[in-house]
Amino acid sequence: MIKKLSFLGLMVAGLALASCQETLNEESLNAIDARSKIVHTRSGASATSLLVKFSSEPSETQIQMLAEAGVKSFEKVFPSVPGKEELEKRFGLDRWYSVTIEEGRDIEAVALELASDKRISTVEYDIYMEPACDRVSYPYEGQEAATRASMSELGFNDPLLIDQWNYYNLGDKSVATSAYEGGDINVKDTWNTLTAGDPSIIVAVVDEGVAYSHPDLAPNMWVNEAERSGAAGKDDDGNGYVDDIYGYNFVDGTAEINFDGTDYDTGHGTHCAGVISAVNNNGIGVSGVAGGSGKNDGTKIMTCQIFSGNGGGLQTMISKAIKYAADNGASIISCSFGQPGSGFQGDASYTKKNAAEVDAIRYFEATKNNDIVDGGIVIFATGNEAAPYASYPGALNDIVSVSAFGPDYLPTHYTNYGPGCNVVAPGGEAYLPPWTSYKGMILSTLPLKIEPSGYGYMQGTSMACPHVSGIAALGLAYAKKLGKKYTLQEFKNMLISSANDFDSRLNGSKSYYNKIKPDLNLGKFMKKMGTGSIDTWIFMMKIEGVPCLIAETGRNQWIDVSDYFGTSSVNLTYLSVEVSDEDKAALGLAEDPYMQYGRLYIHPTKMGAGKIKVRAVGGGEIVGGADNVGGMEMTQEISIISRSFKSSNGGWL
Amino acid sequence: MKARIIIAALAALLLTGCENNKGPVALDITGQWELIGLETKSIQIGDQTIEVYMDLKADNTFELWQKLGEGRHRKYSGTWALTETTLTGKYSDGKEWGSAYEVSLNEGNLIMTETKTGTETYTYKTCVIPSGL
Repeated sequence: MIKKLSFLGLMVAGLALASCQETLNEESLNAIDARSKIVHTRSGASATSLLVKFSSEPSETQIQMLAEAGVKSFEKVFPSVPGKEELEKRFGLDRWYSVTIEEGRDIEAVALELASDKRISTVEYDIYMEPACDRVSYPYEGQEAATRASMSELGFNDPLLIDQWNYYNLGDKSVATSAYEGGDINVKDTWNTLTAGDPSIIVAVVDEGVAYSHPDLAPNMWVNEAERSGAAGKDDDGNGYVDDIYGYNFVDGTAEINFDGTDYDTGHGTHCAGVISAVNNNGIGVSGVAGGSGKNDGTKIMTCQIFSGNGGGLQTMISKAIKYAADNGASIISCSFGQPGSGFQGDASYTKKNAAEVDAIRYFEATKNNDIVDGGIVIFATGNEAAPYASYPGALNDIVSVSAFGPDYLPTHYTNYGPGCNVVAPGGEAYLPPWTSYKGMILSTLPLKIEPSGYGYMQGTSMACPHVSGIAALGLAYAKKLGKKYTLQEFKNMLISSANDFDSRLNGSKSYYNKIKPDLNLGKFMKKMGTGSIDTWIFMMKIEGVPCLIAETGRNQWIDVSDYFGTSSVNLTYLSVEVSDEDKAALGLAEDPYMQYGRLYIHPTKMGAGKIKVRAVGGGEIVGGADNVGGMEMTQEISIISRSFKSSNGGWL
Repeated sequence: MKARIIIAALAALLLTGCENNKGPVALDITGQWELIGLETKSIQIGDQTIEVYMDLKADNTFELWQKLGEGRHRKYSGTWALTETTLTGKYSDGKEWGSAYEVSLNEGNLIMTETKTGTETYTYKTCVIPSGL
């Protein structure tokens, strides 16, 4: 106790001295004001580290005083990268410091003392996040299937692709007696005719370490050439990290990525990486959504390790990892973790309590790492607590948050749903009858020490998330090919509205093998699974451009807008329909158009053309905001041609 | 020799005249056509262009490629029939065309006026349909 007080005393003295030297009239805040600056509690947080944000960049003297006052370490959370200083300042990343104290110190007292200093605006307990997965993997066992696609149908020669129902679901009853043909991400035709990836697109897997030497991943790993060919022990590229060749291990503060199971690793990061970009058409193993066509054209994976077995997951690590991804070229971060049962009332409360991480996310979103989209795309899992809301940070309004379905094209027993969930993708599900294999889950890569075959099954929204990350990467690849450019918001709008109807199957309940789990009531998911199930082909067609819709002159009519909002457009909530006076005149609109039952009602009175802007909620009934959890706002500009007639199949004649 | 040519030409005219007396000349609208005009309107809509190509084949089948604004060309096919100057058709999915058309040829262009209201006229010029649509 004496030791603790003396430590605190020294620290306060240090702060006071710094105050005297820097600003003579500085006074400490009272305890109530100080407490208001402390976010989170010590519960579920590191016992030895805190994050503090200064109101303005502290002087070297202040930092030195704190460092000498008994704090074990006091250092900037984010290394500054040459050329990025302005962006770092804009999002306040230059003012975040990580404070580490000796084990056994009273962290609450330290937090209060730090918060008492007027120059510090936030003191944040360094809380833990969890992977959105049960952290259990199951081995791949080659088994005969009742219905299998032929290799020629699938296009690639990866032998395990035939067991990846998530890409091409033929309704194989050995996977699940309730398996649903077409319940997949509809990627086959995109692979065969449009694109299978692009090596200039980098997806950062913020997770456990990725097995970068795995034979089915190695060719698609991002490689920091400056470090690989540079001097050992030196930060050759000046990005603030030494010897970071494939990414960085933010848990241990080293470039050595752990993934081999020696520290209770589960292979979670390697599994997610395989979904995104296992090498396609290489004659071994599985396929990845954006893994290329076997011609060194796969999307690259950067490993940003924030978990190491049972360790890691701290805010500090996550925040650093996200900035690292931005600074080193990632266009997408795939984040299969979150705060389970977070229970935040809206984005404001989450942002206040997790400010370092949110600042890093905003920095990533503001970083342009390709010529296609003007910012970084953030994709999270919704969480696995079967909760009627998405976990944060995925629930943040500007983040794409992914729920999970199984091979039966129905919600899984674990998936979160409701506000904050934007779209649904395959996450896999165990225990579906006949439960004679693990094939209802998601098959992907695993570290060889965890599964000697290098492949195995996992389930979770953790697995759903990388599907959408891979599809986003395919979208970037195809847009690059076509020379298209988008704002970040436009790209996210297209992505989450590229969805198929999911609600029409949500009747009754589903059962599990031998009642291992209670029947799952499907009605509760109605209108709560975002915009519907993600569809790769629809997304690619949106990137090509959505054709004008035809309206008939002289008739009050409805128009199907599923080309713009997906086939679940009937289930979406629409916020407004806007048309300029000029376009109103061009179409001769006697009254304002409106949306009802997912259709656009319009009454043009003359031949012409115009554009109509429709705003909708991408997941849920309200847009998420500071004080509520909700969906992402989607705006689509619909081009209309009015003619005196139209054919029922869209043909011009 | 000159006289013989004139006689042959006159005979041809007379023969043609005889045919005309038996009924209207059947229009030959087979061939490949490209939409170049909507009445007097441009086929440019804002920053988007409408592209329509049709191939009316001699066996009364057709192929149609259309790109309405953005996106890829979408292909349709089916059958067509010309009764005097009225053109009708059906898509291969069994759907009728949205309208029948009154057609004529004018300086090599195919003029199609929809019959539903009679107010919209589409002009097509002969073309070679680009490959790879």
